[in-house]
Amino acid sequence: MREFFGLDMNTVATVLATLLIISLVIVVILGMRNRILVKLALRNIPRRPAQTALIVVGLMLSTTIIAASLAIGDTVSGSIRGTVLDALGDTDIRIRSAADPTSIVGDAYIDAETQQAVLDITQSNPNVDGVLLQIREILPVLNNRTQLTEARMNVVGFDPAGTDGFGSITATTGETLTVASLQSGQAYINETAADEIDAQAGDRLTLVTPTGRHDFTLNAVMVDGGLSANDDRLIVSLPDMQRIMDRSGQVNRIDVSLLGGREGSADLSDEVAEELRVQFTDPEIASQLFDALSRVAVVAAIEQRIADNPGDTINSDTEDDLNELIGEIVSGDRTSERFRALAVKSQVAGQVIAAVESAGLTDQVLPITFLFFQVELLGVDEIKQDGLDFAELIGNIFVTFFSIFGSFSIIVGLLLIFLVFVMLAAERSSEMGIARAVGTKRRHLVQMFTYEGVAYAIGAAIVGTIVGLAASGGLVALLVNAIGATDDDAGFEFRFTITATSVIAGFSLGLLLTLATVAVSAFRVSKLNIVVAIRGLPAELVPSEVPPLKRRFQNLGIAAISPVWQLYLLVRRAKSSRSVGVDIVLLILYVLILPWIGRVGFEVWRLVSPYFRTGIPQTVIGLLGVIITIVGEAGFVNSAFLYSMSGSLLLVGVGQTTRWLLFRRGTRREVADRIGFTAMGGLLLVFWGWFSWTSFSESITGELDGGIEMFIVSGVWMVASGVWVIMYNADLITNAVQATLGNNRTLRPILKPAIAYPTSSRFRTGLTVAMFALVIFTLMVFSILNNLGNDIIDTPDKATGGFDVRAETSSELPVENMAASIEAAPELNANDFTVIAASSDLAGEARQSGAEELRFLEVPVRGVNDDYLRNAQFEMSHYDPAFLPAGTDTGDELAVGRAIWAALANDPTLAVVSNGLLEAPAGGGFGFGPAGFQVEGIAQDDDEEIEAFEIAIRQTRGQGETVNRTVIGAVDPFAGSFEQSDDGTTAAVITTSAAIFDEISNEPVPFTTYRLKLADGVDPGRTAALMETVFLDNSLLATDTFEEIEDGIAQNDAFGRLFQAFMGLGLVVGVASLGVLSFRAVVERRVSIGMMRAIGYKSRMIQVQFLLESVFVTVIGTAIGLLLGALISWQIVNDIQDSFDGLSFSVPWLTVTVIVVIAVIAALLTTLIPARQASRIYPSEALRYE
Amino acid sequence: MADPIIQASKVVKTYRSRDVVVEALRSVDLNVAPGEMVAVMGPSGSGKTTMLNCLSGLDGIDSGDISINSRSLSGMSDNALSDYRARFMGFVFQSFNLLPVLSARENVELPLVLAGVGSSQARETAMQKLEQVGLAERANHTPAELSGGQAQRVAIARALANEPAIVWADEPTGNLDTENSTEIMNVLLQMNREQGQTFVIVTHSLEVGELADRIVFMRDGQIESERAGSGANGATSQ
Repeated sequence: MREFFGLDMNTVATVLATLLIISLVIVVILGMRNRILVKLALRNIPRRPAQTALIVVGLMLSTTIIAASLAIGDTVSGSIRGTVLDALGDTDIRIRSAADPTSIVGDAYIDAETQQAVLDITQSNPNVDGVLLQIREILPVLNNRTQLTEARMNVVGFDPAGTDGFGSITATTGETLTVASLQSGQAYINETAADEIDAQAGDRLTLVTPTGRHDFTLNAVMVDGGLSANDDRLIVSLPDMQRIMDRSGQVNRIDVSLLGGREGSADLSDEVAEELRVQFTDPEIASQLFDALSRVAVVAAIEQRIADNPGDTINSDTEDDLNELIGEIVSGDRTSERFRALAVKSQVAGQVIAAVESAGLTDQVLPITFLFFQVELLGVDEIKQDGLDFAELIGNIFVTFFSIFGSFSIIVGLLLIFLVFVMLAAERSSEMGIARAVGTKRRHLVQMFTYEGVAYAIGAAIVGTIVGLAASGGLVALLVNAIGATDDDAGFEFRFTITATSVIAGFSLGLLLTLATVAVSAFRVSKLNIVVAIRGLPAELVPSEVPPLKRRFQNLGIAAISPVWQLYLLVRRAKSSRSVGVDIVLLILYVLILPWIGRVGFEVWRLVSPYFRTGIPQTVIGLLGVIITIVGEAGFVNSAFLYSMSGSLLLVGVGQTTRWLLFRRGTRREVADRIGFTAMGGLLLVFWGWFSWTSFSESITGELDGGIEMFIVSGVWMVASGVWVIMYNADLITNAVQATLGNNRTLRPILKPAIAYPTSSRFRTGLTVAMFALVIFTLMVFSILNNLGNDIIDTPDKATGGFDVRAETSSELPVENMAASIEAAPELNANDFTVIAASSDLAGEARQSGAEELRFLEVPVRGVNDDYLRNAQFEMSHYDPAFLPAGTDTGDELAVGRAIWAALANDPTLAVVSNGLLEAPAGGGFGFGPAGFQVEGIAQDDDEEIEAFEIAIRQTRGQGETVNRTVIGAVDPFAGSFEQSDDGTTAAVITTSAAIFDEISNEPVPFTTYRLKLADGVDPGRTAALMETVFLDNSLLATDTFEEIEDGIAQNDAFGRLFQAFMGLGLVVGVASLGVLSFRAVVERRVSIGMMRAIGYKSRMIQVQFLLESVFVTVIGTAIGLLLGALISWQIVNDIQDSFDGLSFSVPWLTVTVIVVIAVIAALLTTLIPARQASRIYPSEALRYE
Repeated sequence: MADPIIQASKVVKTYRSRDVVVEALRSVDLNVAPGEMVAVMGPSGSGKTTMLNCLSGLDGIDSGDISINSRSLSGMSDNALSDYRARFMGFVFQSFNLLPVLSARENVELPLVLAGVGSSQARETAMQKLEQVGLAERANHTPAELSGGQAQRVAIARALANEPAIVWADEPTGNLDTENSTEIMNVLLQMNREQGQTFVIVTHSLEVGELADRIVFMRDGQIESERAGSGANGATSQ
């Protein structure tokens, strides 16, 4: 893990650790000055071990969740890292032909002369410790002994002379193998591949290549990793490979190993790659390009483009590169190496070409484009660094995801910490009151409380970090269990990983948050009223002391000049020779600005806070915020966060004002509270649960920017509102429960107090209910959303297009005529196949006419045959109604889809795009969009009906002809959503008639993918297996599409369960808070329990009463969470239905039941111990304390 | 004297905490007749409250025997004792011990509900009892909203709700001023006279003690002496 929410992880860890150390140093300094207070404070800790343990558990949960999410990120990135390192071994950089390797004609080969040049250049580089020439092809392999086949074996021919610096190969028998010792016709196989075809040393293998079948003897089975890689791999010698591929003297890859061993070094990789890129440019073409760009108009065009930055396509790196490029051009050095290094960067080339084009220099566009493509002789890929960066990216995505979903639990955990300290303060209050009465100063109490809290917090952070790491281990084990430890095809394997940085960051963040909460609680304690504390009266009876206005202004004035004032105090104290340690520390703090601002903020708060009671400031601030967002056009003033927070504040203000006015008019306090808070909660629920989702709301605010944080914010607000409404109307629930259960003779005597106790202490109970509600809310939303896509199992045709089997072949070994081949195959019955739809994806580039983006950007072009167009049942998320035949029922998604495909069949100049090529919905998504081609002006959540638009399409890197196509629709996002390409993503393509290939490709493009519809009753799984056997020589891979959906859903569910388990940690927090409450209640209610026992309550009844209280809190919290979770999920589903047709809201009842049952049982279990304690209270003992 | 409703013979109760052994009751014998009002007096630590707790079955004893209505408490389980208390006994405490979360009426209803009285019946009875102690108009107030005297009257109403045979009162006026004390004692006396219930009252106040039929003086865990109170001249049949 190197990043946390986009911030450098090391910096995050350092800053957090520093803040932590500063805080602790302050505490220690204060403690040293008054050791007796520390002693008094710490004395409390061992006095009650059980309570201390409970407090530590309560305090540790936030830290646990933070540490767990960081460790999961570590594990994910560590697993990918490990997989990348296993796959690449010592290879850092891969050199390939400049022709695009993804081109349909396969990897381009490099001739002997170029190879020698590469060897000369690389071997003279002092940072290079190995260069390995090789050919790698994916070929079908048959094991003659076992008759097992692997359609897609990575067969690699290594140059026996070049393996130095790439590590060794080890046989499973333990001996070391060398490529040099491989004789002609011999091969090594790695363990992964050996498992596939049940191979062992001595087996005869048959490889199929375009030149025919070739037999090899298996010499040994290799341990995976390094040269042996971790995918299905077979190693032969380079001369053998050149022979069977008919590529005498050629290679298609040159791997470079750098100093620094297996882990590699990012800096070194960058440096060497840049040197190599420069050296692999054509100096003559570079000079020509230099001349072409040296024209004043061109430089001006580039400068203009940097200034305009249309569509924000120029990121800061590219901007620097472009400015540097201009600098090089202006300097006039035609042979500049730096210029060549910049010229081969695709971002630079793309922007320069676009700049020239937008400046209207049309005659320059083609020559410059041509030069850019020719200047690069060989491609240099930093494959290891790219792989490791990818590992980081995925790890970060996981941490972000887990942190966001975990943030509910973290919030709940912080509430728990607060609750724990409120309880602690309540317990100590009479003790502290007496201490105050005998002359202890207020700040001494606060200090004592803080010392004790800090001690708990440190203990909790340590335990929490350890538990968090263990929990993440458990979650990973759960995931591994659910989806299998390894994905053989990708060689992926989960490796539990934890980095020191994460541990430090998790520990520090957890401890800082806990300390902050301790500070807030301690501040609350400082407000202790002596009389109230000693007599144990409810705190509300005492009006809080508000310093007079003048004094508050004075304080603010002093705060405004904090450093100066502190210096004055310091000097004054020094003059009267008093100790000045604290003053110096404070002075230093104020000079650090942040604490200064903090103090000013605090005094402003103190100045204004007395008026908050009236609700007027909230109303005014909220109203202002709302107006700003309505009037505002862009940027911060247009954020959904600002709008919704202001709106909420406004409603809070309205509620408070109502309450205050009622109170002033002489309404009883409780009644005023009830009306005020119910109005507030009710209005907020309407606002968050309904109003902000309405189109009316959007029409007054315009489109707002908001991301995933809005989910958290809305959750917290809605739950808080729900709790307010419920807690201030609890008597209605009491009455309802009593009316239903009150006639039960055994329950009746306990029911009343069991409900009356929790409802009477609104703060505690409300807090606990809120905790439960928040956790259940997240679980509910998550399980509903997780369940959404699973409906596809009922309508699989949306994903499969109605095709039962998908068969893919290698582009090197295509099936010439699928229908004829099936006919000819004795194993297959041609009558089983009713439709044979064929397609191929060609690496292409596209540009939308009239769009801001002027560059051609990469996008696969899918050419499909007539059978495809006439039979595909993929639906359309968007379409131009002008292309529907008259009378098409636009309510029938399938009919619309069929009509659009038919239009494409009838007119080869029409095309459709994948939904993924449309703009992402406003405010939605994580912004991981493709770097390639995107449609402008149509968003995924826009209305279904669009207007057709033109795009220009050509083969990648500007080869071949450019043709125009009219896009008349966008294919539903479900289409092919379970088809995974090699990198695990679903391809977003432009689909059109295969006729396009004849126009844009210089060579014929064979079909590589077949989608087959089978006759009724034919088993797709069996047919797929048979096809793989029949078409082994074509390296054909066949998939039962329905099974693919099932597997995909199963995998989604596994991840879903992982998230749920993680969020379940929050449930632990809620349950722990119930435990805290119950333990406290036993202590507080000792005498009452004694009295109840005296008047005849049996001990069992007392126990049941405590359990009922917990059940009551749990049930209310769970109900609020479930209802609000369902509400917001329903709104979310409604909202995204525009972009995902056919999603429907459904409640996964089984999951809901499981959640409820677990919550209630967990609550009962935690309350069991305190309830037992309560029931064992001996009446005479308890009454003696009265 | 009729058969005593409370019979205690040779009751010994010792408290042990670590090394300290306190002999709270040292062979106490006491009989109380039905309808009698007995005041227990004595200095702090003389064992008054312990005796009350033991006699009422709130606390166990080390040796000796206690019978209520001729039924020995020694052999009874905790549950049976609870039932027994619910049916035959009422309690009044120095600090009232009302459940703070329930209203006055609900507090009075508790023992009724416990005895299985139906809700409307329980409500009616509770209101009657509150009326008897003169607090009907404060029935819906919570204990925090009542004065000390009022709270104690609610506690008395609660103690009498089930019309128990015996009412135990531990310093019922200890937390009250003179005026309220008198008022409370009058209520207790009235109940004693009108309903013929047996009262055992632990008190520090001689004034209160004098109102009883009999005053028992305790010292060092033993009954030191006893004499008739002014109540003995009242309507109670001896």
